[in-house]
Amino acid sequence: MKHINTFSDFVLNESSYQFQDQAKKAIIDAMRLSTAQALWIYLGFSKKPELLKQLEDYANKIDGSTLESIIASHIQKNPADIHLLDKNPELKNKILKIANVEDFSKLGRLKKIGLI
Amino acid sequence: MKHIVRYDNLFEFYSLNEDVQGAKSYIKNIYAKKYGISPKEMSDSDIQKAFNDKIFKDVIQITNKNPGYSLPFLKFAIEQRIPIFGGRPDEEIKSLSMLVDWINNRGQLVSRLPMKIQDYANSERIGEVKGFEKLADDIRTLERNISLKWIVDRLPAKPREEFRKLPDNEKQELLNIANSLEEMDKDDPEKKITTRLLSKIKAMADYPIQEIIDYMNNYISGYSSIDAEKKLQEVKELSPEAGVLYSKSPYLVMSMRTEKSQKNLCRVANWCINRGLFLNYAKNALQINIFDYSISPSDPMFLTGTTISYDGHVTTSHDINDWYIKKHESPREHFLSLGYPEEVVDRIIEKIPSEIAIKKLVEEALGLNTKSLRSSQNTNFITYLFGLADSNIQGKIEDSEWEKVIPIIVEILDSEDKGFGEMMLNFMEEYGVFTSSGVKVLQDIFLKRVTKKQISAIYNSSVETFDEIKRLYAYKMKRGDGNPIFIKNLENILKNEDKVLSELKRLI
Repeated sequence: MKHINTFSDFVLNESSYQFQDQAKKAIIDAMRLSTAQALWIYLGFSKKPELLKQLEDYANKIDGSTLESIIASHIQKNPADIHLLDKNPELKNKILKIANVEDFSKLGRLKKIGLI
Repeated sequence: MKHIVRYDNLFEFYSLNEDVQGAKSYIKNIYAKKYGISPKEMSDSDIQKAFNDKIFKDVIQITNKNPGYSLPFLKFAIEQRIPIFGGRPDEEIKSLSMLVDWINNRGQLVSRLPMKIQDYANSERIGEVKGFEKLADDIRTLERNISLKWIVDRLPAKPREEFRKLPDNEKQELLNIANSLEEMDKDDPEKKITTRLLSKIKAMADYPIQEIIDYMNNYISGYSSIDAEKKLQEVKELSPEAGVLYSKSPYLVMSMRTEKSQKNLCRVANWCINRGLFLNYAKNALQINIFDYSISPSDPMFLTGTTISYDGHVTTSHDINDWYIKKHESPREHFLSLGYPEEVVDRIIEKIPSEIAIKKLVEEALGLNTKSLRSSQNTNFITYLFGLADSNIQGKIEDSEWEKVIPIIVEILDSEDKGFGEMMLNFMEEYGVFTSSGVKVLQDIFLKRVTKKQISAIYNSSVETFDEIKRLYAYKMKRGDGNPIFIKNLENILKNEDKVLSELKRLI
């Protein structure tokens, strides 16, 4: 089995469905940095459900969190960021429910273009 | 397997080897430096890595017919970061492969360049530009002068001989006249202005060359005033892609907001921004071109072009022959040093803030500045428009200027198939208006375009947006961990709620 040491190794090598904990940890850590990064990673991995599951299991193993709860924690802090999920209404509703916040996407869109 | 190459003579073999050898040593030195060792300490595999360098291999490949250029081209690529491939044939030379094509097709002209190609490669900067850019400028000037040589051929024999003995700068005067004649006759297939002049020149076989040039200058100056009016008309027709900053005889000061306007209005100038490099210079900057109709079109100062960055500094400036004439960083000092009267300069300076705002709007409206998606063009357009209104509210743009800007914005909103007017209305109906700049845009620009029903819808959305902002503000305050700048923004918006809503109500 080919070992994967970096995130880009992983992304470039689609056939390597097992990847090291080190790489998983780096990815989870990256998700905790910002809403945009968390969503980019989550949506990217959604195209490869098997890999998403491996990440999900790892997140659960280290502190009992889920990938969606990581995103929801960003939204609790910056509710206007929910507009980043405008194109994914199902996930958006799910995250709003987990975060238990009002949908502030409209203000998020205004913030994005610098009007508020 | 070793490749067998046939060399016609031993000299060619050695000279080829020697030429490529320079490039090889150069790339080896670069890699040795990278490894922190001397070239002599490099192992075979280090050397192989250097020779496998992509830039090195590409340069060797494109210069295989002219290996003598491999070293200078490698320096252009590595030290001046000039791309190896790219560019269209109708554009300014901007890549090494374009330069190779030019050398292959016009090799006999290389010796007529002011410097050797090696010297351009050894000069990272010549004046304000890279050595390669100066080379491209010099090639353009050379080609332009060659294309204007017809005027020399049409001189009677004696003055033609005299012309050949003139110093280069004096020769340029006649070539500028040829350029002006081409411009004046551009729409006339019979080229009457030129034909008339040449028939007169034919009868001046015994005149000294300088008298003939003076005669030609007087002749074309007579057409200049007609040209001035025509030019002003052309600018107006191109609006909003070009704007007039000042027009009082003998000066016409224009702002070129797009490459198209630059090409159409100032083709008489020998500038690279007329040939595919507009955005290289005028992106995030104003391009201000000034015609002075009090002097002959053959005078280099007949037309000048100055680029002023959005932060208010002169970045570059050229006369009609593309000579670098930047005098000062400050636009005011620069224009005064070029000899323009104070009244003209003051007018230009006064207009710079609003002109910057307009150029940004035009760039976004026409999608010229970026390859952005339509949606981001729309959002940038909204931001710039509200920003412009805000500058007026804050006094950065005077009311008189704002009033002049409004018709230009309306023109952009109405411009063909862009749909910016509709997009803006949809935006206001969905999000409402919640700042004084929003009210200003609605009142000054859209009031005549909206129904009472639409204003009511905008009012209702505004109330909803204000309520949402209040809830977000309360949420943020409760958590106490929000970004202080964002919270301050929300506070400022909420402070104006009553004022904004009452102004909106008045419009219903």
